[in-house]
Amino acid sequence: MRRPRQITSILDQKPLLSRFWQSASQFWREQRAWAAGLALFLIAVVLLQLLLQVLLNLWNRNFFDALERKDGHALWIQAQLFLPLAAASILLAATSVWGRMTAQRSWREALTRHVVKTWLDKDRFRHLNHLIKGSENPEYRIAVDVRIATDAPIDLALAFFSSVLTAIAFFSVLWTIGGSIDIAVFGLTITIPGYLVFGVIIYSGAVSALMAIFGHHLTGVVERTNQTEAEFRAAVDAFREESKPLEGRPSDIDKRQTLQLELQAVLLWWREFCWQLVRTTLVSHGNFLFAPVVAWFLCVPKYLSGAMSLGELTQSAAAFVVVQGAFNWLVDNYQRLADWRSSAYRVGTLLLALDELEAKERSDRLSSQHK
Amino acid sequence: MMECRLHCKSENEKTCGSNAKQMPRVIVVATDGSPGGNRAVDTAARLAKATASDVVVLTVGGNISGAELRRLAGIEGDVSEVLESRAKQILDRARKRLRRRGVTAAKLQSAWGDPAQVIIDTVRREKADILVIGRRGRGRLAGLLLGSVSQKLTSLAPCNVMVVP
Repeated sequence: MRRPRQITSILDQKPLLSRFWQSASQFWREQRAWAAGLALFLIAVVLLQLLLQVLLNLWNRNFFDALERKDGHALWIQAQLFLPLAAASILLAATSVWGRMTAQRSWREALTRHVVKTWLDKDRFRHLNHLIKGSENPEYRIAVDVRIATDAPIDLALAFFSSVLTAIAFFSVLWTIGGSIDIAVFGLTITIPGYLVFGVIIYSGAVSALMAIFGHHLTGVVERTNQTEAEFRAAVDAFREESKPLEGRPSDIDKRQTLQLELQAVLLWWREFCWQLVRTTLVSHGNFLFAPVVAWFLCVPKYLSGAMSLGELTQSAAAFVVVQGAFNWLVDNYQRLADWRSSAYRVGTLLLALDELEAKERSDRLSSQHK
Repeated sequence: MMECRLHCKSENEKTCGSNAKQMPRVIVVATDGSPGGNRAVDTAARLAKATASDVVVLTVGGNISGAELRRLAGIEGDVSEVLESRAKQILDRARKRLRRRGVTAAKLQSAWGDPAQVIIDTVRREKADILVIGRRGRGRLAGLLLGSVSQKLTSLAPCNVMVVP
């Protein structure tokens, strides 16, 4: 006997996401003042972190300039400045973790309570598994999928916001510190203003394109791996609930085979997931090694010509790596996005199944009143 | 002429089927659709015809290429269904091979799990007298690393095992 197919593979996924969002956004709508306060606090932390990043970048320049001049007094001042900067950065990082996790916990609590209430009301949990497709394994959906579906959006949104601001802030560093460069082509001298900005855009574009080529199946594969894992868990649960004390009968053998088939599907998806990670690691690790070196090489001509100090060179190279990292937001969060999508789909499926049950209860009530 | 190796079990090891000296009554042949598996089916067909035995064709597990999986990821395809349809294809082809060699009735079975264990379970359930397998299936690298299915079966199967090269 085959298990019922997941509703996600039958239905269009948009209604699932919108159903998930309808319940998930309730927290932000109902506790507007508290949620807005928390959101503002998190935004303020991101802005302060960015400010510190810029200050540390500036400190980097001053430190190396002092080193180049062999100026002991300036180095001592820089060393003293580093301590409050580092302390503030550490404090902000810790505050950011507290803020993010508090928001995630509160959101998860609100959504979990909502789903549990709907699930328990009128003993719906007793009828759900047998009546409606796509509601298998509700325990896992409530306990784990709700957590992933509420954790990831906060992390992803903050990371995106931070990446955009970081890119803008450090663009200006690259533009002003990097300045322009003159290139001689066929006897003509071409001046490229803000050449480091163009450099980082071209380099980041190339890395993103490579990542898109190497890992464009990753989100789909992660989603399917997660979905197959969930189906395997559901098959194990169904086996436990439905198996009879006597083993070895044809129906029991069929169920065992179904279980083995689900496991085989999980293993095949895991194999593909492994290959997808291998492919994307080629690009991401290559980028990890090349990005700083590319930055140094772009700055070296100006340093050798004396137009850039050692401090400016290190500052520009660091800014280049920071901007490049900000550009990689999507690439870095491919897997997290896929995990979030599959969990949100599964929570949405459960909510739709509960809606269907609720509608059935209403129609039963109406028909009994008419009688 | 193909040379097959027959691994006979001693009397006290036997748990099913008839004595090795007697004609086999039930032959289980395992195939994964590979050339080695096909040769095992052909050999089982010749043996069944010569001894008027019943044939059980078994295929275990399944594989899908990376390209196919990536295609399925894009279109929401179901891997379990593809695996089942692949198993059906392998069994259909095996049935045609048997028919071409004069064996018209055969029991076809597909199963999932550890191939050696599933084959041994089937041999026990069907009370087979002889198991026919190919020496090499599809998983050559895995075979090198972990030991091949045929190696495991020649050691663990509760009946005579014929390994077709």
